[in-house]
Amino acid sequence: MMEPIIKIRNITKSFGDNEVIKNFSMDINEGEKVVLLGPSGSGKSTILRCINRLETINGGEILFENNKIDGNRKKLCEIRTHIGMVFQKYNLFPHMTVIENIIEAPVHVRKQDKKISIEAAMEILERVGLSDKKDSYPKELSGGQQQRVAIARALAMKPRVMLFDEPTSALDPELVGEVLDVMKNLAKDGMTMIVVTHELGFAREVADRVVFLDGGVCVEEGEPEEFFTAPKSERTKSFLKRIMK
Amino acid sequence: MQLDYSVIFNKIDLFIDGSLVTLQVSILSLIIAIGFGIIGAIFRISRFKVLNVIGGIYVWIIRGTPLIVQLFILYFGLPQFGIQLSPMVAGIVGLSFNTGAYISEIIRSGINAVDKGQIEAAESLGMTSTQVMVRIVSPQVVKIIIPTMVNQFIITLKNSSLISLVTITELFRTGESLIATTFRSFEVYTTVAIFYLIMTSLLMVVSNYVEKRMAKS
Repeated sequence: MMEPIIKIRNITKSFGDNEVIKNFSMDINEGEKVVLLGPSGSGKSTILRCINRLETINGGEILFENNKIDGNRKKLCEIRTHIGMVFQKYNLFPHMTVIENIIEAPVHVRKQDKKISIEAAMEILERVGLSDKKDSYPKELSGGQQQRVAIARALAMKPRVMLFDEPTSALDPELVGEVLDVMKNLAKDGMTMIVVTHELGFAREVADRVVFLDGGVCVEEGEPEEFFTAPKSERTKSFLKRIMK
Repeated sequence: MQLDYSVIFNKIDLFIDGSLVTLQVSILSLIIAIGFGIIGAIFRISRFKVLNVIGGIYVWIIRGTPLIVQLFILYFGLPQFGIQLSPMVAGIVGLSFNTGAYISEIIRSGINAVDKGQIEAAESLGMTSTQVMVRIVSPQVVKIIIPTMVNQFIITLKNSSLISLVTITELFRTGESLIATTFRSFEVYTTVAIFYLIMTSLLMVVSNYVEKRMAKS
């Protein structure tokens, strides 16, 4: 049995008096696709943000390839280069073109040669179907295109794991499909993915494991087929009923 | 009483010289002030509490006291400790230290206006906080703060008239001494006003041009 790539051990997280994650643990194996589901405020996005320490945990520990993710900034920067993240609001750099957005980290963080970075970036742009937009600025693109660029920007660092924080929630309904397609292809290529989403179809099709959270604790987890057709917990049942309507 | 602007035309070169001194002092002070402003802003957003406090005190004192008092402390107060600054040094140090406090506030609000999500995105790519500042935040801050900065430049240029009181013969003091010999107050002060207006207008023209060019990119 292979060592899990990410180990989350008994983490807690509070914002002020509000405890949003209560003693949560989870292992993610290499190549695994995990979808986090749950009502808003259940702590699913916060867990994602704790993994690359955009939020600091109050208790417990998180390990990436057996390296503890803590306050050591140098080690943290290094670990972050292996963990790609895609945000709900794309968060592209508005003063840079598409290609500049993508090569920014390879060139300035990884100190990779610029020409090689551009070639690699063009390959990734092709994969997300946006080769013709390489010189556009983010504001000239649709939401779906921006999100695909954001995925390309994360992929340019050749991450070991990709975190998706509600990647389609800010999109117009007709643009959701193009982003999900890119994510499905990524999954097919064997990428390790942790996805927070409300897209149940995607969860069912792509996930190896679905984790349902409520009130900062894991209520139920399992394989998607079983999870969606025969949920055990009453809370899961009522959540699925509400969201599937 | 009849207005007589002939005294002005005869002495027009004095006004030009005075304006050049005003420009020289203002430009030099602004350049130094931008340095003070950047340092002040970095102090105020720093992770280190001590620096926050120092930056805060700087802005608090400068904004809370008149420029003229600050200048007089530098020029007339420091000699008591054996530090006799030349008028030019006192004027430029005073003006730039004063302007720097306002610029640090402008830069700080510019930094706060940059979308936090982009900073998170940059961090998630493994950038250090310095890289995030230099590569992601500052290019956007420059764009955001240009209109406010031009406004501050104009204020500083006008404030430079106060350094006449530490005996620098810039535009305003040139006018004063001309009145002492000609008694033509109205003519001289209106001419001084026109010269200030020419300089501030030039600044506005330049800024409009820069703003338009920045908007394109």
